[in-house]
Amino acid sequence: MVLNICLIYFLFFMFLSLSCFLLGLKFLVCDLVYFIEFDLVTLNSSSIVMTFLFDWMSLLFMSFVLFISSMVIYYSYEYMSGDMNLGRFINLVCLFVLSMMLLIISPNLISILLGWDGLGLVSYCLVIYYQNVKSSAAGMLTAITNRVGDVAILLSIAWMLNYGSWNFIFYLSCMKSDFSMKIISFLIVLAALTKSAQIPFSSWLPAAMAAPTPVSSLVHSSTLVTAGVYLVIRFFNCLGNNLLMILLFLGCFTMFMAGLGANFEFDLKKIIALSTLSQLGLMMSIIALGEPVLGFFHLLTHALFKALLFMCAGCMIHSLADCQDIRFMGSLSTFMPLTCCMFNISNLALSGMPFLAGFYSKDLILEVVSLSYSNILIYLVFFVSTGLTFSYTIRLLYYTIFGNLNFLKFFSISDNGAVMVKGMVGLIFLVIFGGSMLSWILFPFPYFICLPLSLKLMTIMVILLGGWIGYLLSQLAIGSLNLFLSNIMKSLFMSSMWNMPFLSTYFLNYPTLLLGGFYFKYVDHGWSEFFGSQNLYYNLSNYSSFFLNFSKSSVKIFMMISIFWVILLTVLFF
Amino acid sequence: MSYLYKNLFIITLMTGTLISISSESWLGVWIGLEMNLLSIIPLMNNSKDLKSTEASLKYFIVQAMASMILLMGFLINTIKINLPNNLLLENLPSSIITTSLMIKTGAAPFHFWFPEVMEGLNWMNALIMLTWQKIAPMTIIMYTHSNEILITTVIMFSVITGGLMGINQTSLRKIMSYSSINHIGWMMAALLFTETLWKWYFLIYSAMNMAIIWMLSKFNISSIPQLMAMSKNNPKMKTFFMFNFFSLGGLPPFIGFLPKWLTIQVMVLNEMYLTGAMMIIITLITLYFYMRITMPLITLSSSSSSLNLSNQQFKSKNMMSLNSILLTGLLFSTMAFNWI
Repeated sequence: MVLNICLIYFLFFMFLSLSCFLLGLKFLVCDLVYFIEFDLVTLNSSSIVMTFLFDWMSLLFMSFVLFISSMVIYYSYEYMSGDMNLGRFINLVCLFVLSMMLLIISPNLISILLGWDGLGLVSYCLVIYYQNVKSSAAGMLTAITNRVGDVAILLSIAWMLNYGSWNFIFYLSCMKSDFSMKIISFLIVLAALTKSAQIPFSSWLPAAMAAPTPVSSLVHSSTLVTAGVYLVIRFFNCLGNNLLMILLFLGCFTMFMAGLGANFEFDLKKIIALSTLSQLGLMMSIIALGEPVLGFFHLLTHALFKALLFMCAGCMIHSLADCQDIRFMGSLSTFMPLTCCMFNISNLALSGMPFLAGFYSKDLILEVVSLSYSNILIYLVFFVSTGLTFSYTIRLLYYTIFGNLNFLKFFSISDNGAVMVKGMVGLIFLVIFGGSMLSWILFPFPYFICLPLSLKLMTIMVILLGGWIGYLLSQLAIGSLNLFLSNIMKSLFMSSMWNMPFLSTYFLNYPTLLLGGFYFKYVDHGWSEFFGSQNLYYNLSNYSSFFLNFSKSSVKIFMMISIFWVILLTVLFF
Repeated sequence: MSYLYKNLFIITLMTGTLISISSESWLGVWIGLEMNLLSIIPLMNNSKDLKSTEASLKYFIVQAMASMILLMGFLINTIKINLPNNLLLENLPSSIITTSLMIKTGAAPFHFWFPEVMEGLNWMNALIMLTWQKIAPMTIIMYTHSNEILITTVIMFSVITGGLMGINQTSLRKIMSYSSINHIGWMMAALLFTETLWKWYFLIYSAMNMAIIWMLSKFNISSIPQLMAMSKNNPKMKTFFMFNFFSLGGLPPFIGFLPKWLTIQVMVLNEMYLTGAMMIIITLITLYFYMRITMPLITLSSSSSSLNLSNQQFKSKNMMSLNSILLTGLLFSTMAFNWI
C-alpha cells in the first residue's frame, strides 16, 4: 500500500493511541491526575486559561478512541476507495477525533462546549456525506436533536458564572447541595441524554446510519454517542438522587425499547444501531445505579466490539453491492468466512459470551444490578433486555450467516478486500482479550458479588431463553400463523421505536409549520399587510392628494388667508 | 455677455441678506429684505421662459405682502413702546412679525406659494431659493424670541406638510421644495433652542442640497422618470446621487444624520418629547419618497432613452470632494472625536 492520507493518519493515531495507553497505565498504577493550564490572556485580575485534565480515565478513553479511529481510517481506504472526496472524508474523521479529544481532556465547560459542538458539526457533515434527500433529513434530525444538548450546555455555562470559573471539576462535590449546581447537573444530564440518544431523543441514532459505514463504526457507535455517558461519569459526583432515578428509568427503557426494536428491524446497520442504543441505555442505567466505573468499563469494551461489528457489516454491505437488507443475505459464511468469523465473535461479545470482551463488563453489571438496592421493575427490564440482546443477535446471525443465499444470481461476495480485513483483524484481538485485560487493570481488587445460585445463573438463563426466542422468531414461515401481521399495530409500535421518530419529527414540525403557514397567510399576507404597509401607503397617498386641493387655489386666496390670519392675531392680542 | 447684470444682482442679493441679519433696527431688517427681494426678481427672469416670469411675479407679490406685514408689525411695536430701534418685541407684534417671516421662508401653513414658485425656476435659482433665501428670515425669527406655541405649531405643520405632500409628486422641484419645508420644520426646532445648532443644520442642509442640485442641473432633470437616463452607464454618479438623498433624509452613516441627531438631543433635553417623536416619525415619510426616487436607479437596469444624456461625465473635482466630505463626514468626525 502506497503512502496515502489513510496510512499517515493510521500510523499517527496508532502511535498516539499506544502512548496514551501506556501513560494511562502509568497514571492508573501511580494514581496520578495532571492538570495542565495554558494562560492565554490575562487582563487585570481575570485570566483566560485553557485547562486540560489528564487522569487514567481520560487517557484510556483517548487511547481507545485513537485506536479505533486508526483502524477505521485504515479500513476506509478500501471501503471508500473510488470516492471522489476521500481526502475530505478522512479530514472530517480526523476533525471528529480532534473534537472528541478536546471533549475528553477538558475539565472546563467552555472547552467541553467547543468539543461538543465540534462533534455535533462534524457528525452532521458526516451524516450528509452521501448527498441525497434521506441523508439530508437524517443529518438535520441529528443536528437539531444535538442542538438541544448544546443549548443545555450553554445554559449550564451561564449558571456556572455563579461560581466564578467554568472548571466544573473543582465544584462538583463541594457544591453538590447548591441550587445552581442542581440546575447545572440537570442540564448536563439533558445534554448527555441528547448526545447518547436516550429515550426522548433516541430517533436520531438509527437515522444517522445514513452515514458511510466507517463513520457509523467510529462515530455513531463507539465514540460520539458515548460522549454523553462520559459527561455523566465526569459529573457523577454532583448528580442528586432524584436525577439519578430519572436517569435510571430513561436508561432502562431506552435499553428495553432499543432491544425490542432491533428484533423487528431488517436493515443491517439499523439493527446494530439499535443494539448500540440498547448498550448505551445499559451504561446510563448502571451509572445511575451508582457505578460510574462499571459504566466506563462497559463503554470501553462496547466501543471495541461495536466498532468491529460495524466494520464487518460494512464489509458485507461492500460485497453485497450496497445492499443492507438482511433478508437478501444468508449463507455468507461460505463466501466470506473470515469476515463472518469476526462478525460472529463480535456479536457473541456483544451478547456477553463468556471470556469475550462484553462478558466481563456485562456480567459484572448484571450481577451488580442483582445485588443492588433497586426495585423489581428495574431488575426485570435489565434482564429482559439482556435476553432481547441475544435474541436479536441470534436473529441477525440466522439471517446473515446461515441458511440459503438469498442474494441476486450475479454476485461477487468474498473476503478479498485485504485492507478492510486487516483493519478488522487489528480490532479482533482486543475484542477477544480487551475485556479481561481491562477488568484486570481497572479494578485493583475484584468486585465482591454474593448471590444465590438461582440469581447467579439468571444471566445465562435469560440469555439462552432470548437466543431460543430469537431463533423461533426468525423461523416464522409464511404458512404459519403470522403473529406480526395479526397484531400489526402493536408490532408497528414496537418496531418503530415506540413511535419516537414520528414524535420527534412530524409531531414537532407539523403543528409548527401549520401555525407558521396560518400566520403567513392571515397575518403576513393578510391583516398585517392591510393594516400595515398597504393601508399606510394608501392613506398617506390619499391624504396627500386631498391636501393637494389646497394648492389648486390661486395665490390670491392664499394671500387673503394670510391677511385674515394677521387680523385675527391683532384681534386676539390687542 | 448679456447676463453680466446677474453678477450685480447676486451681489445686491447677498448684501441685502447681510444687511438684514446684521442690522440693529427693524427698519434695517426691512430694508435688507426688500433689497434681497428686488435683486432676486431679475435673477429669476428668463426672457425665453414664460414660467419663470410667472414664478418671479408670484414670488414678488407674496414677498411684498410679507414685507408689508412685517412693516406693520414693527410699526405697531414702535407705537406701543416708542423705541424705533428696539429689537425686543411685545406679544402681538412678535406674532405678526413671525407670521410675516414664516411667509417669507415658506414654512407651512404659509407655504402655498413655495412649490409653485419653485416649479418655474431653473435649478440654480431653485438652489438659491432653497438655501440662501432662508437665511435672513430664519435668522430674524431666531432674534425675535417669539411665541413658542406659534413656533411649535409651525414646526408640526411644516414637518407634516413636507412629509405628506411629497408622496404623490413626480416633479423633482416640487419634491425638493416639500423636502425643504420638512427641513424648515427641523430648523425651526433647532433655532428654538440653540443658535449654533441652527447654523450647523443650515450649513449641512445647504451643502447637501448643493450636491444634489448640482447633479440635477448638470443633467437637466426635472422629473423622476428622467433620472433613469441620467444614471445610464454611470454607476459612480448613481451611487453618489443615492447616498446624497439618504443623507438628506437623515440616514445614519451620512452627514445628514448629524444635525437631526443634535436636534433630537436638544429637544429631548428640553422635554419636547411629543413634538420630537412626531418629527422623527413624519421624517420617515420623506425618507420613503427619497428612497422611491433612488431605488429604481439601483434596482432596475437602466433603460435606454431617446435623449442620450449619458455621455456627460462626472468629472468635477470640486463636486467629488464636496460629495466625499458630505457622505463620509459623520464617520470621520466621529472617529476624529473619539480617537484623536
